[in-house]
Amino acid sequence: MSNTNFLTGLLALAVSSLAFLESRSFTFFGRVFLDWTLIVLTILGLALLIKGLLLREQVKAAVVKEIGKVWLTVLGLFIYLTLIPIFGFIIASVSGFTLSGVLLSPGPMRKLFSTWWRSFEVGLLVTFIFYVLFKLALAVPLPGGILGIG
Amino acid sequence: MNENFWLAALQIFTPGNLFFLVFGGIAGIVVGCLPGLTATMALALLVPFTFTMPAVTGLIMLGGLYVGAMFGDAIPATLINTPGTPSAIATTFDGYPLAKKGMAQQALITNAVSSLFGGIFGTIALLTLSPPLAEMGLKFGPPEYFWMAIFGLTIIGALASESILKGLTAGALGLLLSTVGISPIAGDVRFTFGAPSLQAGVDLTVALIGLFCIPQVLEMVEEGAKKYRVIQYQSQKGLFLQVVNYLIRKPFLMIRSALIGLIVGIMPGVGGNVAALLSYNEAVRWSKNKAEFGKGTIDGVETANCSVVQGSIIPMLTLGIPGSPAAAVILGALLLHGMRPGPELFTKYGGTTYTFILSFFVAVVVMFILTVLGSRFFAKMISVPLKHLLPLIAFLSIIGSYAIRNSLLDVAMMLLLGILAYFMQKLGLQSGPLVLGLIMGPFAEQGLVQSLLMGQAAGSVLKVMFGRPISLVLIGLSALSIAWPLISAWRKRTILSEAGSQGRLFEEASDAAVETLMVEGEKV
Repeated sequence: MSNTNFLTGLLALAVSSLAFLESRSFTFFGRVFLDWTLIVLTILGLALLIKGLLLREQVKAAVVKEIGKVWLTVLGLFIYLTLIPIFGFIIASVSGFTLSGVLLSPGPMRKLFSTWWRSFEVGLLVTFIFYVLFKLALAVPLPGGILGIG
Repeated sequence: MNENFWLAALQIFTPGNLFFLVFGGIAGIVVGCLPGLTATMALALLVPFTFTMPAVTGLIMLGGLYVGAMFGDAIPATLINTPGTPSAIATTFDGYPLAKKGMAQQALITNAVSSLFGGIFGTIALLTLSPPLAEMGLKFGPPEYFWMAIFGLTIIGALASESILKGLTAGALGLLLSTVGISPIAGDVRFTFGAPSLQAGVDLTVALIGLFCIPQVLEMVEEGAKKYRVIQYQSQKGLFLQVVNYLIRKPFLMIRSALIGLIVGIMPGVGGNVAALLSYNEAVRWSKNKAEFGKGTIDGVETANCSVVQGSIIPMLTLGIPGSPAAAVILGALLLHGMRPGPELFTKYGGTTYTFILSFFVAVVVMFILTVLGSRFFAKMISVPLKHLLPLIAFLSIIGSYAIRNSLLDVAMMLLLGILAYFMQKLGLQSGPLVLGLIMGPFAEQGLVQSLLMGQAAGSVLKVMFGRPISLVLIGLSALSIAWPLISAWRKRTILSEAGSQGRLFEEASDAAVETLMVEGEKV
């Protein structure tokens, strides 16, 4: 439970203050649109802050139910991003698909060899389809990594 | 309409264009079939892959996908009581009860036929309304472009979010994001924090993927896997003609739904779900058998979701204001191919634009055939496990953002924007107005700076900014778009409180009278 109006107001004010400080060195024509945007953002931020204080609404939707899983996914995405330039698209994708398939399976299933094998199969198939579709059909460049496989 | 029109019609049928239309359409149906995925997300994922295609082919593919999703979303709505996209919400009211009665095929055929009708109706409107509307753009100068951008932002900010303040805040944050990079006239380097890759600004495709796809992936991770019980059905011969015969005898129902979809689609920020609910509500209101609704009636399956597609494209092509988040993504694709909305689209890029518009005719017919013949096959997609679906979307997002400039920095930026958007959505700041702010920002800034220069030259900035008739209309519309939701909320509260106080008076007199009043109050 959290007061989303108050939090959004704070966010808007923080962003506009930072942008205001950063923008002081800009020329008039480089700043004029920015200044108007910041004025509007500040007014909206203040309005949200006041609304939040007056209504004290506790909105359930603001709660992240499975924050651990969400951070794990974010971490997984950044690991995949780090692996691509090293191992290239093909190896990184097959490993990424396999691992995410296993991790997203229900707890007891993760230890089974069949879950790993099935995830590996799907990873291989999807990577192959992506490779053919994007690299060969649509001429989209895919990273090869230091091994040059991609 | 000019000679471009006939050339455009022929362009659709080149093998490449036809292939990508069908490819986009099938992808759209699949996305429509998968609850939790949206057409906007799928469009954002496909945008980077249009770089290597001619603009017309890319647009045809995106249009096909948008139409396909509107056809496909009725399949889960009918078979598992969960709309594939929010636009199919009203289909669940009668589609699912029909499926439970063993009439799933009738419901799916009805949806396909009505989507075909809505799609053709919408495309005719798109074809006839767009060129004259775009001509209005010839009268626009820098101040008008500035106010048009402001109007687009205010109306979407006000209508697309649950809270006007949050909608407008998201739009303003989008404007702020659009100022990253070198300023258009003065050449200041803004908010790049020393990163040379940011000097060109936040890449639109990167932002589209990050803001629309990553939050959805994280949202699905948070929600976890859901198990659906798909209602199975057997195909029966002769049903198609029976349903078509029935619907032919309901021309007003079909026209009304298509018209509602079109009008709602044109209104920026009002989604297909509103069109579907309005259309359903009108179907109930005009029906002689009101009691049948909600229990499984063919009349209740008929919805307006397909004409919303073309409706949302009209303001996007002509004025640069997308009627829906999905149309905003298509606008992004247009801009990435160097095409700016307005009269130029119908003159300089007439061939491409007319081909894109006319391709909707082909797309709705192809999608109609695919859904009528392949609903049972597409229904199997509903059961695709989350553990395979999520990595697929995540990796497509990563490949898509990498493909733009072969830069892993773009991928990192996409992920950062996506994570930020996910937490902002938790606060009620939606991605739609934010993306629109990002798209409209450069137009608004250029319009403002040029207007100021014009004002300085003319001796009065105020006269240039506020003294031109079109500008005044746009300022009025912007003010109205902010004020209208406030007025309507105030009116709603007044009516409810009046109904409540009258209710108390009646309570003393008669219980029956109170009951009637409450029913009337609910209708209001």
